[in-house]
Amino acid sequence: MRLSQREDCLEALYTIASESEKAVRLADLSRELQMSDEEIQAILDELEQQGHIARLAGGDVVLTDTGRELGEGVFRKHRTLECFLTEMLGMDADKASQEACRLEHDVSDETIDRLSLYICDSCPGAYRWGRKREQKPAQEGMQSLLDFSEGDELSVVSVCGPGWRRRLIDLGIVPGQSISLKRKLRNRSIVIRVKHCDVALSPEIARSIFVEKRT
Amino acid sequence: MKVALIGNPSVGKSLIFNQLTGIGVEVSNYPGTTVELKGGSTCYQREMIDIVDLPGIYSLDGTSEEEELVRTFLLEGKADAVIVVMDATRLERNLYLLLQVAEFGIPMIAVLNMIDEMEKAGLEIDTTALEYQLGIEVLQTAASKGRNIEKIIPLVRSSARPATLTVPYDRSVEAAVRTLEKTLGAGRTESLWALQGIKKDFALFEAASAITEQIEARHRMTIQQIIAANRHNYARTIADRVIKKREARKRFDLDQLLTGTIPGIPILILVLLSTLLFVFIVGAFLEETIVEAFQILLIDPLLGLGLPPLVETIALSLAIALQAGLGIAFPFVFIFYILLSILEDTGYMTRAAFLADNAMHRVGMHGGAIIPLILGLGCNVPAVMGLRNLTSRREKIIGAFLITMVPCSARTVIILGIVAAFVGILPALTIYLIVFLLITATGLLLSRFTPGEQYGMILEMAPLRLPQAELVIKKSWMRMQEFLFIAMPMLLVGSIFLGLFEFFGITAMFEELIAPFSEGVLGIPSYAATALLFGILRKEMAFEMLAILGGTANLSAMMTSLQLYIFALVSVLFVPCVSTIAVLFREMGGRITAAVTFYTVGLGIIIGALVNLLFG
Repeated sequence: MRLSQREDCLEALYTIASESEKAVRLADLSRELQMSDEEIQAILDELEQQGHIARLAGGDVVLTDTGRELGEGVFRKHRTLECFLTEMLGMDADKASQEACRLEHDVSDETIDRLSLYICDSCPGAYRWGRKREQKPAQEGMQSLLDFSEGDELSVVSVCGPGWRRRLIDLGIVPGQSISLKRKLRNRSIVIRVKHCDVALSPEIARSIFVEKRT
Repeated sequence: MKVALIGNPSVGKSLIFNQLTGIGVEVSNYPGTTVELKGGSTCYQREMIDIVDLPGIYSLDGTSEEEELVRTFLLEGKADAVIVVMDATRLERNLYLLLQVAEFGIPMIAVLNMIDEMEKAGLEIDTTALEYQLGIEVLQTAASKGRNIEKIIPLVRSSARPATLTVPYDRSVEAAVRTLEKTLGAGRTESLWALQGIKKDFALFEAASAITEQIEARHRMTIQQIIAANRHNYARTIADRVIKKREARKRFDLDQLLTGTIPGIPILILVLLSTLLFVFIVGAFLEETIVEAFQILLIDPLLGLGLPPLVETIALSLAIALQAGLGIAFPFVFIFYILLSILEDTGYMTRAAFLADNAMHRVGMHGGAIIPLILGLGCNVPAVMGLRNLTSRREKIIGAFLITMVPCSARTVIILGIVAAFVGILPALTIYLIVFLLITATGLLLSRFTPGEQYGMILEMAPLRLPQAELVIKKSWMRMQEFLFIAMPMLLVGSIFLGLFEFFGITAMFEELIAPFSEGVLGIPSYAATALLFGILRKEMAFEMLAILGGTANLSAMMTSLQLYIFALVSVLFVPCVSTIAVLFREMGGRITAAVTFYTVGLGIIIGALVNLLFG
């Protein structure tokens, strides 16, 4: 079985599982991958041998920790590439997705890291309404506003998301700016203080502002 | 001479404009209430000076409607001079906009407003130093107290001049600007815009975008961020140089209470409920007094005159319309507007928006949308106009549906005047509950099916202030005028027509036609259905017309409790009034307006029929 097929399968498992947060049914998987059941069974056998998935009674599949990690990695590559192709190169969304599907298996982690640093991971299409799952910070070691608690004195590292970037910039939320986290509700709406003004932000906006602790 | 006022949202621009021109413009303590250009004029030394109040904006480089409007305004040289109004307590952020305005090279002065608040916060700004840094005249004012406002026009007239400051941009940006200047002969300002991707001149834009890519690749930041960071840094440098002292503020921060989940949300609910209750109780008291006074002083003497029947019909219709309009709508609407103005001026609305953000996400909008929804409790028309501040079309569509369902003060009059007065307080509250549930259900449904993107909230919290009685009354009165001068004539004319229809038997014919439907489906008498139709003109007219058509203000004498309940419920739910439809059409276009109208009509009739079926 080819590596790319195994990766596709893990990616599909990862996306389906993160949406429903349950075991994945075979039918869902074959719909997502558009492959026959036999083909999928063969791939799953191989993945099970490698310890990336576990099979439950009734044929449902769950990802193991290593499998989840791999699936997430492929998913992230896919998203970054897709974002780059649509946002930066202006490619049509469907085509970009297909292209990303091919490229994601060959591209190195370093390239993806550099690429995502460049385009700042959250292209607007990546945030789909209805998907409640928390998105991980784009880069290892980078923390968004949501990772800090009330009263922390912070400094902005980068800001993502073209849709709302402009307003944030105009309010002074630019890299290097000192801000303090004034209020964080349990539902993750926050208030930050920037340039002596209080600004209220929704969680999805706060998530796109990467910060570090001021020393 | 034409002078433009420019500044961030809620820096007191509109208030200054009011005082300069004496023309009524609404002032609000939350971002973005002045969207259209408001103009007025004043006379200074026998010269006419036209003053334009530009919408409050944070930046001139953005792509929002307001920002584009202001940019074109300045670009086309429509203003001979500009007054940049700044909030002295937020100098650094306000300077950011001033730096951008300065690049236009238009003669200008700066007004440092709210110095009273600045003094309270323990700050002092060295005006002379600031004048030196900016190269223009700076005036300290306190618009809420009228301090120094009279000096603005003389200062503009005598010493407005282009600012001498230059923002030191990043070397690569400066190099790019030079390149564009040399190769294409573009000015500095246009070059900076082109670099930020604002299309004006195509060749310039193409050349700039090639350079932009290089710069962005090198800096790993977008060019907008680089340019903005340069301006912000320069603004900070200036602010640091001119702000004299900064005492640590030891005042108790009320926001600790207002924005926390725990006392915050109960406080929010309490504020909204007590607002409604206050309107109910005080409004009901005033209503009774006014209605009775009209009865004794106008209607009874009129009936005693023994006029010829036609004249009496017309006169009586007029009198009843006056009684209903002034006595029923006036107390509720005016009191609600006063409370609303207080809420706005204290800056509490932005706290409400913050707290409601999460809940609003569930119905497909963000916290900012709570402001038009609350405004809708007063009148749907300004609320629909407030939809402009929402970012995406998806949010606007959902907002349009929900706002038109919010029971405005006119509908409150119906609920109170009919259900609370003749059926009971509890049934009246159930109407609110039904409407609230329907709004939530509609929001949940629409958020699933409306296409488009979901944007989050980025909202500047207005500073907490003590509202000033004079300003509150003025603003409420301004809003009330719409009611008096647009609604009252309509009510009077409508009433006369009704009186005449009645007199010539047209009403009876119509009622005969509609009777099977109204009695069969809704279980209400046919004249009540006629009254319902009048609700389309203005919501509370449904109630007033019911009294007129029924010939008595004692509604329980002519309809059963259930009939009254259904009548109120249907008229609250169905069809936004004509003014709302008109403003919806302007803001959202024909299709959405039609959809909203049909949806609400359907909803009203279905719910009404359902209640009739269940309890009839």
